[in-house]
Amino acid sequence: MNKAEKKFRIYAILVIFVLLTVLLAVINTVNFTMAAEDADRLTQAISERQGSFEPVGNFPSELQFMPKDKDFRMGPMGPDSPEMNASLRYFTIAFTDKGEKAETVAFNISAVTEEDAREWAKQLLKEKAGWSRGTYRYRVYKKGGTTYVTVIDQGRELLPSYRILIISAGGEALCLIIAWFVLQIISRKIYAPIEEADRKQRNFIKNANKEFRVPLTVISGNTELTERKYGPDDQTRSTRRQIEKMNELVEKLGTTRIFEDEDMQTAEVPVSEYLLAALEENKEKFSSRGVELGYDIAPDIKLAAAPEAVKRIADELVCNALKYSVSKADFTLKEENGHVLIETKNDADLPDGPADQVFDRFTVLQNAGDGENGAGLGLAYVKEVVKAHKGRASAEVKDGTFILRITL
Amino acid sequence: MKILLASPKRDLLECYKALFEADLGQTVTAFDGAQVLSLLKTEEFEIAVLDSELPRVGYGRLVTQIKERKIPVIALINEPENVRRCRNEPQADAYLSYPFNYAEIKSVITKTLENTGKGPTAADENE
Repeated sequence: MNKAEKKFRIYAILVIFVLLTVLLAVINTVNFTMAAEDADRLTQAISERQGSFEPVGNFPSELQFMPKDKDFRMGPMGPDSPEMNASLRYFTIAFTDKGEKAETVAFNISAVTEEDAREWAKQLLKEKAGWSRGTYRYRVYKKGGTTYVTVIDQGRELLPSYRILIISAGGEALCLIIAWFVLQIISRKIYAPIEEADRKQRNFIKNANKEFRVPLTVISGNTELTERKYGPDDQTRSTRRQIEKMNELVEKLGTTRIFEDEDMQTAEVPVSEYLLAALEENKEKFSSRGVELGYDIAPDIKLAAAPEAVKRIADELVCNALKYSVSKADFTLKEENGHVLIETKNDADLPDGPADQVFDRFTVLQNAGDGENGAGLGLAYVKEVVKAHKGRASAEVKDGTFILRITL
Repeated sequence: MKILLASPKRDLLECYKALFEADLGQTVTAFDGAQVLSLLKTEEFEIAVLDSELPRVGYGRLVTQIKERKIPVIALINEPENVRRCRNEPQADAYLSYPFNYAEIKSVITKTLENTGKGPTAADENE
């Protein structure tokens, strides 16, 4: 499984997790809110009856499951059921003389004694309404000079809500497990063609790298023979130049592939020194191309990395700027938040926006000034090295300036 | 000086034989490992330039056989990872990766001969 596939699976499962959690949170919140509203309707009904339920005594001629009045939401299944008086566990304590005198108005509960109920009610005197001791709903209300405290037990009514909550959590966990397995199948199907294309590209690079080497050696030998026989001329010199270019390409293909093996020996690398050396070496070339070269290289920046790879990164960055700058190129090397940051900026005739495709193999964004385009391998190599060192490489074009950032 | 040049690529044999003969000395070519072994039995060589992927006889066995005759070996290597593989085989005296040009291989041959004490003598140079 490659990194992109792993990322896809993690992000997909995270999205599913968040969506399911939000959905179940909404369902359970609404469920508990409605349970609280039902309890409040009961305490409200009790308060309207001066603290107690009187037996209804007249069972409705027909059951009304659908509400006729707006408050009658659940018909005989809700708080207005005629059975409510018999099934409700509650007590009401009336307080007079600023809470000093307590009188039991109704007591139909078995979890507490009447004495405890009075003490409990007294503690709630300053409140208005809410949950107490987990599953008990209370309401405090005044009529005349009397303050009533009604507490009803909602334990049995809340039980289905808690069951739904637990089932939701279990269901979510099960869904996530199933989703993880389904995602594995889906991601395989999505990424198999991508991996296949990548494998083909790697094979091409491997074969190109291998198959070009001997023919180039033979062409070089034959050119040598031709020059010896007939003397060097423009054609043989041109052939030699093209052989050199092909040799460079083959070397790049080879080194790119070697780095993919992640077989790197690290040492303390003087990054400042390498970048300065690459810049100094190419200073004249920048000047002869009419490109103004500027750099701000912090001294003595060192990094634990593969020395040859970092050296080549420095060369590739400088060569890239040399090839594609129109009139100006700037290099910065500094340490930032414990990381080494290399930034190159050069003016370029390119549209604004992200330009990370420059790191793809064989991708060239624009024509080089002298018509000698690269093969699109230099920055691909840079990216491979940065990746192997767990760093980051990004490219963008902003206000006509191509900006390349490498964090190691 | 007599050079053994072995490679399965006949174009390469043809062209570098001509160059070696012009500059370095008599060159005998072989395009597989069996031919190399047979040539070693019948002829004397000062140096062997050997492709690391010769067919029919393994590279390691060939290097061992050549070195037993005190002949320095230059290994020509095609793929970069073969460098690592070849380092685990019996050691050649020098390694050269394709692609190379004539000046490079000539320089490697000369240096290898010098390092192994088979370099051109003063008498050779006077000739």
